[in-house]
Amino acid sequence: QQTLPSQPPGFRQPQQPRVPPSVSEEPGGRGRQRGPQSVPQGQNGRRPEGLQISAGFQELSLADRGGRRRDFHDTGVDTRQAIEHVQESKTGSSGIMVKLTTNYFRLMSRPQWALYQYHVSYSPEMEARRLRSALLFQHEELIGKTHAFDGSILFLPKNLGNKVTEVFSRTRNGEDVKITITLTNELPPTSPTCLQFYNIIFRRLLKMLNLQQIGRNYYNPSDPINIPNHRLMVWPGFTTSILQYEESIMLCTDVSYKVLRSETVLDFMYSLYYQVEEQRFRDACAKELIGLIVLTKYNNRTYRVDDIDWDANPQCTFRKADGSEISYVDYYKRQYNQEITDLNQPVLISQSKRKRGNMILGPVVLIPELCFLTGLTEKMRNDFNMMKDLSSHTRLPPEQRKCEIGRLIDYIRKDDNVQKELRDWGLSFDSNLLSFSGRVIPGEKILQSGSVFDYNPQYADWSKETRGAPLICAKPLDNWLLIYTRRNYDIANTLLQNLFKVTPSMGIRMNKATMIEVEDRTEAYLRVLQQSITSDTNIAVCVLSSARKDKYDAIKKYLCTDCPIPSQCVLARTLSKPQSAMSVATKIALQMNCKMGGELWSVEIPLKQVMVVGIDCYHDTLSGKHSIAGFVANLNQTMTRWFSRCVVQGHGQELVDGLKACLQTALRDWFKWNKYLPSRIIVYRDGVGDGQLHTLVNYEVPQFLDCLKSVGKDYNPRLTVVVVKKRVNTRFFAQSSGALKNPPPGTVVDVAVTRPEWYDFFIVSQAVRNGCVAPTHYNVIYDTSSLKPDHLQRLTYKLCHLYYNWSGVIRVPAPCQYAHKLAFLVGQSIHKEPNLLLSDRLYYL
Amino acid sequence: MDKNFQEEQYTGIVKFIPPLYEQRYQFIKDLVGKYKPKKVADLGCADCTLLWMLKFCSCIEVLAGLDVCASVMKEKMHRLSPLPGDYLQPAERSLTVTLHHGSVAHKDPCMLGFDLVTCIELIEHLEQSELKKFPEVVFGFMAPSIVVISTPNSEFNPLLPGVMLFRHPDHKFEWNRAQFQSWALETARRYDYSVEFTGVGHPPAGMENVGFCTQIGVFVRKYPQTSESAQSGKPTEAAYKTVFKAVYPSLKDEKYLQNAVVSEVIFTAQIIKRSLMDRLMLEHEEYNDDPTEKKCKFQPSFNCLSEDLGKLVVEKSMEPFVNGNVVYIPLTTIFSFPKVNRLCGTFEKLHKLIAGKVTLSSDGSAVMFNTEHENEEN
Repeated sequence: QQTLPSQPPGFRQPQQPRVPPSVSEEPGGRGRQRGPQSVPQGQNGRRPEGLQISAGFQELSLADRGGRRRDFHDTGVDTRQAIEHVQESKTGSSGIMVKLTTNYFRLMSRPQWALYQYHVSYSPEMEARRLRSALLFQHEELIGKTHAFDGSILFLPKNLGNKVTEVFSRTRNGEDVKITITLTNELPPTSPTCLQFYNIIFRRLLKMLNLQQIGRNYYNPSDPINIPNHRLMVWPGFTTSILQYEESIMLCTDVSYKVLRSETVLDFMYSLYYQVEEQRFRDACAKELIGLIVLTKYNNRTYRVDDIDWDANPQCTFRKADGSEISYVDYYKRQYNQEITDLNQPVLISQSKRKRGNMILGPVVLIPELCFLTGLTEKMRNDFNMMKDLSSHTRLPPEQRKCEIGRLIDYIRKDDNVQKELRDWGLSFDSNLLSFSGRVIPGEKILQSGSVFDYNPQYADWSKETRGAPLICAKPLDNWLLIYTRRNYDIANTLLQNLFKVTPSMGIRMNKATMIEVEDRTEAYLRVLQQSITSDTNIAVCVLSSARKDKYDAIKKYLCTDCPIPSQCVLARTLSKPQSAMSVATKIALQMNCKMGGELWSVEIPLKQVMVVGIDCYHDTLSGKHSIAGFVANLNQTMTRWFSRCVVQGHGQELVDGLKACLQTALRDWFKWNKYLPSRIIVYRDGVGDGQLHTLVNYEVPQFLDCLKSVGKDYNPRLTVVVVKKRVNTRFFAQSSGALKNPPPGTVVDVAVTRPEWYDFFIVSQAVRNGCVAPTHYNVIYDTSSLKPDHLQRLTYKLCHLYYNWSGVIRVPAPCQYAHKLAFLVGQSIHKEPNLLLSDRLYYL
Repeated sequence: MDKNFQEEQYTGIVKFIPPLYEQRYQFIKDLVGKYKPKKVADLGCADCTLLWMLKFCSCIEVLAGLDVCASVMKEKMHRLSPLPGDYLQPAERSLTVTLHHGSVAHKDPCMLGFDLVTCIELIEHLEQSELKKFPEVVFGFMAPSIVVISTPNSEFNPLLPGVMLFRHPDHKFEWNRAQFQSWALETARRYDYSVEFTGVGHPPAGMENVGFCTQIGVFVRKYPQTSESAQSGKPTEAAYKTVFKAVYPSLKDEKYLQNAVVSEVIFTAQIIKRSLMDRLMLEHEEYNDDPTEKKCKFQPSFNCLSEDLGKLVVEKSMEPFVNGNVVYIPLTTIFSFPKVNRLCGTFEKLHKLIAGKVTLSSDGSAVMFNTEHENEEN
């Protein structure tokens, strides 16, 4: 580091030892998929009796290393039992059968297998958990070598013979202790308690295989992929979970890649220091670092950076558990032999969620020099080349992915210690991936202004087929603005000419735009917009010379709130390639048309009087202060027009209150359009995090019902609420002529890998060019519609055809994607609720 | 065995801060700090706490543990595995940690050649027959430079509440100072070691005459052993079973060194390239308002490094330059970066390590980058 001055001025701080400050209650959010934070966290959903095992094991199974966390698998939320029409069967029927293989292995146990659960008590009472174990295992000849013990509950693969067994041990002090071992349960393999037990044992096995736990998954550090350009290291590994699925208990495992950076937080701060001006340095650090997960050098723990304390440094002291004061420098030197070389660096603050006993531990102070960065920053995600580099390593085609998944089972089968442990417990894993049949439901006909188009089901894309065909509803461009900088005059002119060429066949009437040249400054754009927009302006098109986010944000903010008209921003670079100019012009014409309230295509929707709602959330990555939910509902029968609103969650507000208000306005607008109210409402709820299902079931659904009740006494529509999940570990492989391929779009799975306590199914709706396609999981948590599962599946798939920014089938129902787009725009650029005058148009596309 | 909570129940008369077991471990750590041994073995390593503490000592390259109870070792042995951080920034030193299952009454060649052997609260757990063989195995066979033996001082026991006979039911004996010292002196004499006595756990005021709670003997071999005499006549048959082995990533291993060098070279070169491009872009924009053509018009041989990077460039031949779509960064420039320099040592070594891993110019003197796809967007 000699090339750098020894001390960036930003680090120079008065050295005053101090206690870490308390940090605000709401830590900044960076997780892109966190669920509705605002919904009150119900402490205990509805757990079946069998799940009530002692705290020690919950710790082991759920968090493994201290601290109780939420149940990421949403076990114990039994929603199917309340849905009458799927008690017998939740499977659909249409489509043709397809042979599928999936990333699940069956867990098998010996015939008549049982797990024996004992309660262990001590007289006199012994407090320390380690002492309790030591005393108990003085009787190994009785208990055997195979056991799992958390200090009070003992699991054994064998019966001790008596209901109550008493033994005596002696402590080091020569004190005699009576240990009473009482059989409390004889658990069959499918007991929920056993599931927790399986996961505990499985984690043991992964450790035996020398896999490193990081976060929830396990990684193999011995054979990393290096990406030196960005100081990245990628570790291959596995996500695993053992759960009760439709017919059997299975291990679901998928390959996972952990992106680590061989760069400490301090290294990163130094390189940032040379990229930004000094006065912006601290802000820049906060912006880049807060919310990131760091990994400490000296132990294998990960922490979230919640704050940076610039007033503290490594020479500050803290109080150890024994009451003595020690500085961070001395502590790390003594404890881990870690030298801290930069004594003026600030410290990182992490709000610990860990608990010791019932005591919540305070914030954790971390030294930047001793923390490695993990994961990708926003900047890296936006780096196209880097992401390409990364995906070339991590995006595996089906055949290869299957091999990688199979490796885990290979490791397990080949390791003697692991085999022994499994044998001792009487368990084993099936050596083959689970295979079964799914169904491929037929593709839809694309209806566009009298014409009917078929598309190639393999590609799930109809951009070629429908090119140049008239649109269902074309909005005229009578009076519109085209704004550009001097440098981009030619580009703007070419765009105009190309639009004149492509719009007639679509049926879009177009006048010449009002061409306005501006200086390349944000204020110049805004001034021109203020001066030129009149009440009959259809749309404002801005050609931007660079991808400067602030300019884009300012334009969008102005045109979505203060002066609500549709707007279209386009980068000059996008328009500058002659070979793609026409297809770009076509896309822009379509997009502009949607923003002005036009309609492109539709599919046949047999269900009448149905309102479909899509909800998705955006969590602010930087300020982390609020979440935004997008809410989109159709306004017409053909589902070509949509009502869009969003909720910006204020302080102390619940997201669900806002969603209620959205639903009310949507119904009002529906009534205006249709002169009646919908008789069915189907809500597709995206943006729900792992482990938040019970909150949805217990809080959000009742609120929706409440809201419907408030509409009118006689109004009693049928409500269906479907939780949509894109991030699942389930993968399907289609067997076709000996090779494994991605299943074709339209593949529906509602057997084998679904959960018996849920009314759930998977649909693979999109086609991917490389890698493995990710199925979308749909979980119907509330349903009074009496719709047959087959009909709901078909409707869901139809809805995946209706996203106007993509002439093809997408991963989720269109309203979810619209809601996502809206929430993203508001969260990233506008930061407050857009003007409601725009709510009947897809202005955010 | 369960030495960690031995002191937990002490209340009243004597309470050690920090706890006695920690004081014993700290004693060993201090000893390691003083003598800087490379190979250290802990006999009776139990749950591997001492080994875990010692793995952070940067002088140690080989760590071994031995215990008769495999299950107690296995319970926490995974904390001896390398951490993610050890892989992310491999250390200069190499480190191998091995755990063996076996008895100190048996000889195994894997225990030869150690600098320090520690036996913390071990001997009092040995049966008479094992204790008899112990000196021959440790001092005669293993014959390390230093042996540390700690054991309870029975004279202290009356101060410990609740201790009737021994401090732990598994103890076969507990010696007073005279007993321990005579055994130690006799052993030292027989195997040519010198021994000094000390201890941890000071007695309370007024009771100084009982001595330390834990008595410790530090044995130092009088004569350096020649490698021949060390190996002659030693059995080669293994008596222990290896239950755990971890090899830490180290820059001594060519594979990790190469990775580190290649990463550093590419990263360094990227920084130089970026600052070069930024500078060129700025200069370029001043003259030309049209960004679409900026790529092709660079003149070669600009000295465009930012100031701090520029300091390094002393010779003209070390300047990076752009030719068409390709940026050339001379290896000499990269070699002058302290981190690269420290890793490789010599320019030849740098050449050798990056061969085939980094794209070089035809004469092999510079790292080449294509700027073509720099600004592409999806």
